[in-house]
Amino acid sequence: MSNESAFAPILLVEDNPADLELTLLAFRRRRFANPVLVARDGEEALAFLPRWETGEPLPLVVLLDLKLPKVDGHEVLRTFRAHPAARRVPVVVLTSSSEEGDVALAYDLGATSYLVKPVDFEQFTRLTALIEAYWCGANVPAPRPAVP
Amino acid sequence: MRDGQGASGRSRARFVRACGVLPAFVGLGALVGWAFDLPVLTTFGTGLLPVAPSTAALLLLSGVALAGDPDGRGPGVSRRASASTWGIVAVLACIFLAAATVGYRIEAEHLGFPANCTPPGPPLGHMVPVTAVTFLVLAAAFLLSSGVPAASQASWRRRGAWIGAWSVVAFYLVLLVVFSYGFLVAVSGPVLPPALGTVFGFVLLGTGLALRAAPGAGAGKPVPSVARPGVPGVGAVATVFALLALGIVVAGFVFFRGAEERYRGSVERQLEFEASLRAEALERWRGERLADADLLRTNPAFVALCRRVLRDPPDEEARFLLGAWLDGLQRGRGYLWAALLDSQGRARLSSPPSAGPGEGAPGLPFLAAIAAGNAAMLDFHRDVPGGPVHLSVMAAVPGVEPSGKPALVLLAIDPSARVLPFLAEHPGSAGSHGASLVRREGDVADVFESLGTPDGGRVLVRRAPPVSSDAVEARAARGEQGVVMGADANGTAVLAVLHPVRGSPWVLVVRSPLAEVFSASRTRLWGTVFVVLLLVAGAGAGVSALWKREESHLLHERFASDERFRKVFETSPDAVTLTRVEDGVLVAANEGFRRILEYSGEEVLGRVAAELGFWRNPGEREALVDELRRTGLVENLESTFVTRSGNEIVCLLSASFVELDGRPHVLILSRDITGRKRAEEELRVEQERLDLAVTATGLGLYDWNVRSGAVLFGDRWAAMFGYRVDELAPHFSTWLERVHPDDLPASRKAAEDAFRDGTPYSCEYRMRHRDGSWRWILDQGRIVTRDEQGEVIRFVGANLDITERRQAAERIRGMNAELERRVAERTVQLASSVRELEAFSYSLAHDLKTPLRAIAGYATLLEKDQGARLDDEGRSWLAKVRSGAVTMGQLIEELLEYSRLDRREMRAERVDVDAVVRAVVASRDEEIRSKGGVVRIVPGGTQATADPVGLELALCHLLDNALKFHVPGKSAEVTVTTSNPAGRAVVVVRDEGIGFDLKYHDRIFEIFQRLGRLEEYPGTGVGLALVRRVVQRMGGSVRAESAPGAGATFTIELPS
Repeated sequence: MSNESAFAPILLVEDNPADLELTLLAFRRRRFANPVLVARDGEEALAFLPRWETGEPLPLVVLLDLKLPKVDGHEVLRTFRAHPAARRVPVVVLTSSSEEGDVALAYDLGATSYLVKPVDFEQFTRLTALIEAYWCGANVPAPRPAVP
Repeated sequence: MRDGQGASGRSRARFVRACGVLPAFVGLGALVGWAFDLPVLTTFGTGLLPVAPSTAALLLLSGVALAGDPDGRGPGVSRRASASTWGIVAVLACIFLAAATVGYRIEAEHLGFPANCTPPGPPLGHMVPVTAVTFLVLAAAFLLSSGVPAASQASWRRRGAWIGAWSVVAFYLVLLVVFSYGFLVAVSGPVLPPALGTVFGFVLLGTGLALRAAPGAGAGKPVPSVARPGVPGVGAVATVFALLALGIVVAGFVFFRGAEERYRGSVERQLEFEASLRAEALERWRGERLADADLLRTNPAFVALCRRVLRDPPDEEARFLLGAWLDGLQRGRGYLWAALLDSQGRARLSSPPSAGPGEGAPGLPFLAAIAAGNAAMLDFHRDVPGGPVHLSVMAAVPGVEPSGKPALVLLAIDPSARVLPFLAEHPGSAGSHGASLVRREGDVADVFESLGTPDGGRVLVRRAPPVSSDAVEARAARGEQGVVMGADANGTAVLAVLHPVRGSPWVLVVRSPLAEVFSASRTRLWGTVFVVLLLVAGAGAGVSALWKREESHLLHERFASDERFRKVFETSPDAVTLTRVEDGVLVAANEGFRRILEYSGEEVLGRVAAELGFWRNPGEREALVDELRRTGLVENLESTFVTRSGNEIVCLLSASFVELDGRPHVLILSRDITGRKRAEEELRVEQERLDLAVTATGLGLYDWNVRSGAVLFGDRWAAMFGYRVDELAPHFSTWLERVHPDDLPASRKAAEDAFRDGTPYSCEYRMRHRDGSWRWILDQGRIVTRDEQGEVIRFVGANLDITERRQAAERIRGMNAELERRVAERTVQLASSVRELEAFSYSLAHDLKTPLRAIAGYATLLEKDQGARLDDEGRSWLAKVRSGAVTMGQLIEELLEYSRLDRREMRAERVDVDAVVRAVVASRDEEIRSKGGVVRIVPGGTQATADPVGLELALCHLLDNALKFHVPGKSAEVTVTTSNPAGRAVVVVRDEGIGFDLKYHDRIFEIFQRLGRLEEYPGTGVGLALVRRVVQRMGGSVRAESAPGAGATFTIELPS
C-alpha cells in the first residue's frame, strides 16, 4: 500500500473476493485516482483504527459490506461511530441486502448512505462512478479531530 | 200439580165463562133492540151510539165461543166449535174492516133490521174499523192460546195472546173513561168510536181471554194464602190502588166537565148573542117594510092620486104622478114590485109595469089584514105552485074606488135578495155559525136557510121537515126556545139557539156544528185522559213499590224482634240472607253479607235477589233452588259471587227452608272461602314445583334437628349412597360416619359460619357410598328455626351428587393444561420458524445474489475486454449467461418483496386512491414515454381504507403488467378508472393488449406462473401473485377479465 499518494484513500470493506475484484475493476474502469484500501473482514477493518490514530490520513469514505466474517458490518459501523477519529468519516453501506431491517439498522448505527449492489455489472459501474463523483469529488472530506 | 190448583183452575174457568156469556147477552140484547125498535137496548142510553147489528152478532158469537171453551181443556167437540166460531168472527171482522176502510157500507150489516135510529152523526148501524180490529185481536188471542200445552207456560203464543187481550182491556177501559168524561165530545170527532155496549162487551171478552191465556193458567203457580197480620195483603193494596185510581179518574172527570161546561157556556152565549142580534135586525127590517106601506096608506096626496087613478082611469096626469110614487118606492127601497091593486086584486098601476108576483091572488090573510086597516106582511108564499117564494107587504087604501071599497098597495119583496143577508154567515162570528128562519106550516116546519152554491154565491133554500121530527128546526117550530143540541134538518149534529122573531111567526135558528164546538174540547179530553192514565200508572207503581218496601220492612222488623235468632243471624261472620220463597225478595241480610258482598242493607232489602246480580253464574242459583226444593236442605255448595266492586269471591253455601210469619223463606249461609281456596291452590302449586325440582335435579333432602341430633333423610338422600331410607339410622351419626375425614374440617367450618351469620350453608365434600366408592356431594342448606337464645334448632338442606361433575371438571382442567403446554410448544416452534425464515431471506438477499453478481460481472467483463477473442456464438452465449444472471437477480428481488409482504404489517387508513394512481403513473412516466404508450386516468374521487404502500405496490405491478403485454407493433394504451360503488373502492386497470384466455384466470395470480414466452414478454411471474397477495391482505379482492386479443381488465376492490 503506498502512503505517498497525492489523493486521500477510500476504504473498501469486502470479504467476497469476486465482489472485491469486480468493485476494484469498476473503480479502475472509471479511472479512479484515489488509492483504495481494502479490508477483507471486520477485524481488518477495525485494524485501521490504530493507524488513523497514529496519523495516517483518514479515508474519504468507507464502503462497507454488512455481511462480513469474524466481525460483521454492523459491529464495524458501531465501532467506527464510537471511535474519536473515525466517527466523522462517511460510511456508505454497500451490500446485497435490500431488507428493510438491515437498512434501518445501518442508518440507526450512523451509516451515511445505504446502497444495494446491482447484479448487472454495467449498473454497478455506474454506481461506483456516482460514489467517486460524490464522495471523492464534490464532498468536503471530514477534518481530522483536533485532539487525537 | 197441587190439589189447590185444580180448584183454582175451575174457578178461573167459571170466571172466563162469565166473561163470555155477558158480552153474548149484550149482543143479543142489541139485536133484540134492533128487531123490536127498542133503541135503549142498542145504545145503553139516550143520545148514545147504538151497537151495530153486525157488531152485536159478532159479540154474541164470540161470547158464546169463549164460554164454550173457557180453558182450552173442554171436550173436543166444543173446543173445535169454539175455535171455528172465532175463525168466522175473524173472517167477518176482516170483511167489515175492509169495507169500512174503503168507505163502503154493507147493507147486509143491518141483518135486515131497519136502521132507523138517527141520532146525531154519520150513518149508523155499521161496524166501525176500531171494532173490527178489536175482534181480530181477540180472535187471534183466542186461537193463539188454544191448543198450547199447559206445561209450556212461557210459550210465545200464550204470551202474545195474553198481551193482546190485556191491551184490548186497557184500551177499552180508557175508552170508557173517555165516554164518561164526554161522550158527545168523543163522538163528535172525525173517528167514530165503538158504541158503549161494544165497549163493555170488549172489556169482558178481553178480560176472559187474558185470564184464559195467562201464563199461570193450566199449570198455575202456588199462591200461599196465609194470613199475615200486620202486613197488608194484596186485596188491601188493590183496594188502595182502586180508590186512588177512582179518585184520579173522578178528579179528571170533574176537571174536564168543569172546563167543558165553561167552554160550552161561552159558546152558547156567543150563539145566543148572535141570534139576538140577527133577530133584532130582522124585526127592525120588518118594521121598516110595514112602515113603508103604512106611509103610503096614510099619505093624503098618495090616497088622492089613487082615487083619481081608480075613478078616472084616463087621467094620465094622475097615473103619471102615482107611477112616479110607486117607481120611487120600488127603486128607492129595493122592492121587487110596487103596485096599486083594485079591490078585485088586479094591478092598476105598478112599477115595474109588468105583471107582478102578487097579482090576482090575494089570499085570505091578506084580506083580513086589509080589513084590519093596517099594513100587513104576507109571509113567504108562492103566487103560483112551484113558483118563486115571495114576501109581500100590503096596505089598504080606503075609499078610493068608485064603489067605496078600499084599494090595495102591494110591495113585493124578493127574499133571496132581502132576507138572505140576515141568514148568511156572520162575517164577524167565530166558526161557521149558520142561521135559518123557521115557521110552522101545518104539520111541517117551514125552514129557510142560506146555502152556499158551488160558484161561491148563496141561495135561499127551503126545507120542510115534519114538525114531529127531532131536528132542531122542528123543535123550533114546536115552540121550543133557547139553547138546544141535536141534529139539524140536514142531519148535522149542532148546537143551536132558537130565538123567536117578535111580531112574526118566525123563529130564528142560529146553529154551530158540534164537531166544531167540540174540537177544542176533544183535544182537552184526550189530554185529560192521558194525564189521568199517567197518574193512575204512577199511583199503581207507587203503591206497589210502597207495598213491597213496607212489607219487607215489616218482615224485617218482625224478624229482628226475634232476639235469639237475630243475635245468631247478626253475629255470624258468614253472609246470612233470608229470602222469601214466593217472590224471591231479600228480606234480611246480616253484617257478614254486607262485609263480604259489599252491599249495604238499604240497597238489597226488599229487592229480588236474582236482580242484584251477585251470582256470577245464575245457573248455580237455580241449582241451589232445585236442590233445596228436592231435599229441603243444601250443604256446602261451592258458588262464585261477584261483589259490588266487581271482585269474584268463592263461597261455600248452606241453605234451608225456614218458616217466618207463616210463610216459607230460604235461609242461606255463605262462607267466603276465597282466601282458603287461594292458599290451597298456592300450596298445591308450590308442592308441585318442589316435587318437580327434587325429581328433576335428583336432590336428596334432609331435615336435621340440631339439638337432638335426629335427622329425617329423604328417599333420594339415602338412594344417593346406595341405601333405602329405612336402612339408615335417622341420626346425625349416619352422616358423620360416612363423610370423608379429610373433608370434615371444611364442612364443619362452613356449618359454623352459617350458624353464626345466618347465611345459607354450602359445602362440597366426599361421602362414602355403600359400594365403598367416594361420592362428591354438594350440600346446601339453611337454618329454619332458632330458639330464644339464638341456638339453631332446625336445619334443612339438600344434597346433590356432583361426582361426575367434578370428574368432568378435572378432565377439563387437565385438557386445558395440556392445551396450554402444546400452544406454548408450538409458539416456540413457530418463533424459531420465523427466525429461520428471516435468516433464509437474509441469506437469499446476500449469499444468493453475491455469486450472481460475480457471474454477471465477469460475463460483462469478458464480453467487454475479451469479446474480440471470441467468435459470434461465444459472444452470444456470454450475453445469455449475463442476462440469465440479471434475471435471476430480479427474481430473487421480487421473491424477497413477496415474502416481505407477509412479514410487513398492513396499516388501514383513509387513502385517496386517485392520488396514489397519479403517483404510480407519474413514477412510470419515463418508461411510458419511451414506449410511446398512453395512460389515461379517470378519477372518481375515490377513497379507500387501505395500506398506502401496499396499494401503491399493487397498482405498480398492475400498471407494469398492462404496459408490458401490449400488442406487438402497437403502443400500449391503458385506462385506470376509480370509483366508489356501494361501500367499496374500485380501481379498474384496462389495457388494449394481447389479453389472455379466461381459463387461465386463476393461474395468472399464482406465483411463478407465466402465460407468455419469456423472450416475448420478460418477467418473473411474481407480479400478479404479489398484487393478489397485497390486495387480500388489505381485505380486498382482485379479478381479471379478458379474452385473447381483446385486452385485459384487472379490477381491485377494497373496503371504502
